[in-house]
Amino acid sequence: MLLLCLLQAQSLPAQEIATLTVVEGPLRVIRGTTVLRGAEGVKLHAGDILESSSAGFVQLEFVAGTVVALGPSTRLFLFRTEGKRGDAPSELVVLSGWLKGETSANAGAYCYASPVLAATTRGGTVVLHTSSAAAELFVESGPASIEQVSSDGHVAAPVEAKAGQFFSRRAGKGIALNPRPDSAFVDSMPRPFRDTLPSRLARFPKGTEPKRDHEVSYSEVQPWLTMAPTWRKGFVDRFQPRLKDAAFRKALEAHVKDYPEWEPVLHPEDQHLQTSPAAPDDSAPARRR
Amino acid sequence: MKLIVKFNLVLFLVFAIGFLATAYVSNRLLQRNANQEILENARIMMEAALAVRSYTATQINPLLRTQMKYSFLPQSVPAYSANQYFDQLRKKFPDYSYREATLNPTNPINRASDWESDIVHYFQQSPEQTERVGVRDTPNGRALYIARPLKIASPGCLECHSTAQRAPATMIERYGSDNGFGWKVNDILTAQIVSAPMELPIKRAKTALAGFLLSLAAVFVVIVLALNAMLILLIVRPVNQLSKLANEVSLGNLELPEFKPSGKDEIADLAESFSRMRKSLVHAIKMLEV
Repeated sequence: MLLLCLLQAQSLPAQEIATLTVVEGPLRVIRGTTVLRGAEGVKLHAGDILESSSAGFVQLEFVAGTVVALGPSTRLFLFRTEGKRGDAPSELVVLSGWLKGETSANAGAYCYASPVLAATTRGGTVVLHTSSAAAELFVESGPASIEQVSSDGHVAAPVEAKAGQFFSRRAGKGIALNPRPDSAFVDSMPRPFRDTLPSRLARFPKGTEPKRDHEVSYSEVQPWLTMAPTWRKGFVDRFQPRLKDAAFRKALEAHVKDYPEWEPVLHPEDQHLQTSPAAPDDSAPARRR
Repeated sequence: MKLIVKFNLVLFLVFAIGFLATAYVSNRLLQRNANQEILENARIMMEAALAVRSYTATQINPLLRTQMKYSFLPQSVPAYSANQYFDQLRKKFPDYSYREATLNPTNPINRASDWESDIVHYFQQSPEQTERVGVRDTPNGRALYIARPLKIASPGCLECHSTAQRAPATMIERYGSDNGFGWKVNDILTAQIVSAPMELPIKRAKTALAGFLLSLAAVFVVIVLALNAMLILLIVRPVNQLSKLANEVSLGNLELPEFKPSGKDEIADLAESFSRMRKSLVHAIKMLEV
């Protein structure tokens, strides 16, 4: 009976949570352990990782109407899928680059998180620019809650933000608030972010099948394996099949101290001797929010 | 004084009086028409500026609303688009100028000068008036102007002009929070003014008048030449011939051939009568000789 349930679960199609409605320039979509070529009309699943090119622009539209745009050289992880009103917020993790999120008033709350700064909004629009050590965030409209993100991915010290306010934070420092966005921020922001993102979802009623490119290499997942532990939980199970690739395994082992949760998988023989206290437990409850 | 000289003198006098009277009346008419034409052009320009303002307010402004959250875009402002439209127009009509003179403008460039403020106050005190036309002295000479009031008809205008708190932050960044606020619906704070130098209608009228008078003079010259030719051919020359013949006959030279003018006009009748008189005279002399 248990086996039957497992087989049924495996045969169910993955939940489609969003659609790529604008893709300018090459877009890499990492689904499971496979790298797909992103194209307009491709349906996205929870857990997908998107990486735009250096001159790219990408727009994805979620089922409940939220529209998200990505600027050039942007890395996005669809960490938590869209829930109903009152549920935990959908969470999109931006490792680097530019994101504009127009959260639909009909959708639940959305959290746009970077390694140092996060914004949670219900019906608001935010623009986030981030690198691993700093982030800037502009609240274009609607209410939003701005939060510090710790190195382990936990959020703290929420600040209620009003439309028009600008927040910035460097790793290890507090949130700086300005009544208006920095001119350098505005000047470097992708031009299409200045406008309201137009919905193009109706053009893709059936969706497009993405083209498979290759199996993910270590260098492609390395930034994701080393991001905050809260967000990378589940990655051991997800990328474990790639250990069959000797090059992947060798590179992974060389940096295992950066992601100690892989230690038991790489060296199961040592499991009975020691466990890594810093590794996030895949079976641990969801992070505090 | 010869007949042709008298004839030409009278003709010239009549023409000169007619020419001057025509020039005077035409000049006034052409001036008035030129003024009217300029005012009509100005009205069309104002209507076009209003159309551009409306287009900006209803179609461009909503499109730029999100962008205005990042930086101020004057393209979203109706007055700016109207001025831009007119700047383009001035490339072909450089004599016209356009102002949206405002008592309390956001952009100081639109602040009404003294005479413009008078016009705005006139419209404030006489809200039933929809247009004012006048002439004023400027350092470059006299200027014709036409002005219309711009009433704040839509509450949408107040988004940028009610209070600094309600206005877009980017607009405050650009222009500060001191000017352009406190407006209310139905207020008249602005006058659309199109000006053109008076020299323009005068120049136009003069050009038209010169053309008209030159044509009139040319027509006169043709008429005079034609009348003189007719006078010489039909009257002066036959009368001269008849006069010579009468002289010869009076001197006793009766053998001269008869004068036979062509046609059947009064000169021909006169020649026939003279010929008959000459025959009677010859006949009477012959009877006396017998």
